[in-house]
Amino acid sequence: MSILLKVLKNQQKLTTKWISSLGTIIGLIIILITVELLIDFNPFIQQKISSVEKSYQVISKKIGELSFLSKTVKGFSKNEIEEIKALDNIKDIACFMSCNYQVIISVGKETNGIPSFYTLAFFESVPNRFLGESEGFSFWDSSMNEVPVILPKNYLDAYNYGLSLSMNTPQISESFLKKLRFNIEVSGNNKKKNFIGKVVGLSNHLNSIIVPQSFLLFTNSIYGEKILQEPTRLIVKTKDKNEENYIRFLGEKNYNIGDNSQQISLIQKIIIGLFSYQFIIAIIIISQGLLLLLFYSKIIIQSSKDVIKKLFITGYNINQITKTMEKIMLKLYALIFILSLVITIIIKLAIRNQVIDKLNIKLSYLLSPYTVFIWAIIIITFFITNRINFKKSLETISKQIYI
Amino acid sequence: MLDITLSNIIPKNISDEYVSSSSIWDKEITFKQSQFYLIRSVSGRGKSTLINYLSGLKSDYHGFQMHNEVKCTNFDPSYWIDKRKDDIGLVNQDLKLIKELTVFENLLLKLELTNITTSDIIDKYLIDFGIDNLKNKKCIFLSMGQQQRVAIIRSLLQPFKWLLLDEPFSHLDEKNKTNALEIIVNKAKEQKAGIILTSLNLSDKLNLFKTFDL
Repeated sequence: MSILLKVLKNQQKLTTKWISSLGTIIGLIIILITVELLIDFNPFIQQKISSVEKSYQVISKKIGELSFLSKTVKGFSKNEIEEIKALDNIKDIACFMSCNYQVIISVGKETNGIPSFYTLAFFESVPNRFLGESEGFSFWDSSMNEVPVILPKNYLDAYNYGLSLSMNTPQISESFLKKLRFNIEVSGNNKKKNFIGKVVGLSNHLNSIIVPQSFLLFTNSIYGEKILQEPTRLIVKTKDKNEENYIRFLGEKNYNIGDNSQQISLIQKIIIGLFSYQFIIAIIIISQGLLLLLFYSKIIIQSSKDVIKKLFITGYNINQITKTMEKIMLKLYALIFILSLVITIIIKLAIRNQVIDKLNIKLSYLLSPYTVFIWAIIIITFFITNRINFKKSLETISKQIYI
Repeated sequence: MLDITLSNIIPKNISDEYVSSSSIWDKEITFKQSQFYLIRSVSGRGKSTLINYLSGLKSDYHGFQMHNEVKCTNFDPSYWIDKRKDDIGLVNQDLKLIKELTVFENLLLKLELTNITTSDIIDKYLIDFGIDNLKNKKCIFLSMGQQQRVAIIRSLLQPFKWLLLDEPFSHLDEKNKTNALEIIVNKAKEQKAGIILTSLNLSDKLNLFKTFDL
């Protein structure tokens, strides 16, 4: 060890050193964890509510307290539909078409840990232009035995966060669900037929099982028993979902709006808000850590002022003293940065094991390159800021030699 | 070569009486490299101030200095730091030793900077100055006379064109003073360097020195 290093090393203040280091480590961990979680949760935050879903709404009639007394379901009359269609805010409108026969959906034997099940179901359809892009959905004809369906996203959530936990069965991802096949039995008019069901998409917006309109027309014509009733639900495209007159009209008419996408964007906004808040806090903490470290460097320089003056008189220049000061700080910085990275990885693994798995979001064990990049940027900023700080302080002292 | 010229230098806070009676202040004087100069005066006439001006540690004067007839108007600290590293060996009156370091470490600090020779030279000087037994003692525990000898050795551990010595023997007995002066003069001659030495009184080797009274 050079004598210069020894001289300057002797000037360290241990309490200040460890307090400022601890502050910086905490700030760094929070900032790295925030960035890492933001990246990991990104698929959820960016969850696509297709532009089609964003601009469409489902309108139904509110169910009154005495509705149970009536056997018939109250739907929209032609006049009512025309009245809605006439609103300025409405760009497009269509009725939900319902099946008029019995539907039974079943999975005969346990498949990939998913238990066999059997349930009564109900199909609806809307014109394809209201459905966006779901691969393999738009076309169906009577020669096809496989029926593409769009499921409400809520069904999958209800299974993953309810049924699967209570029955101890595996959770299902969207992609896995699309690989599953199930039986569809339609019956009515003393006829019965089996089809194979295949999920082609999930909707945040539509709350019933949607099949192609061509399938529903075909099956209704063969198995349908009842006379078609008035449609109970309408799908509309609006210019502005929140337009004042439109909202007032729906309220006055006692109509319901089903709009799950708004709720999702609200959740997304809340999550982004929370992360932003955490990010700001982390920036404040890390800035304080940085300031503390700079303050610590200043303390070292100030407490070594007499020694540094003697070094200048001896012939040591600012660069030589700066480099030696940096050498002293290097080990501390290495400790701070490596420790913060290791703790961040440990915290990430803990979060991954405890929380993320339950949310069915896939996470890697490693930190994202973006997080490491930000970590590197912070290191570089630290070094540059500290070098400037050292040089400025030393320049000031070198001028103080003059009396 | 490095000749130093003082051109009508007057310290800003000195009384007119001292200026008029001085053979240095407000005069045009050139110190030639390889010549030896003794600056004599009673206390308070500015001997240390002169050494500080010549070594770039003070700049509170009227007039100007020249290095080889080039005016020194540049008071950038780095200029003078380099001068003290490469051209000027300096012993301040308050010695500027780092007290928490040992004698050897203080000398090594200079040697690491100049890198002109090996640490064996330190041992040789310590023997020559009679303080080899203090090599590993911290400077804070040394007497002023011992510290002065350490500071003189330090000033010799570098290439120099000038040795600026401010009362370097004030705490030395006659024997040590004679010995130290002998080593300094020989080393300066070896390097063809000049010496500017301030002292209240100097009896030895007076014939070698051109004397100025402040």
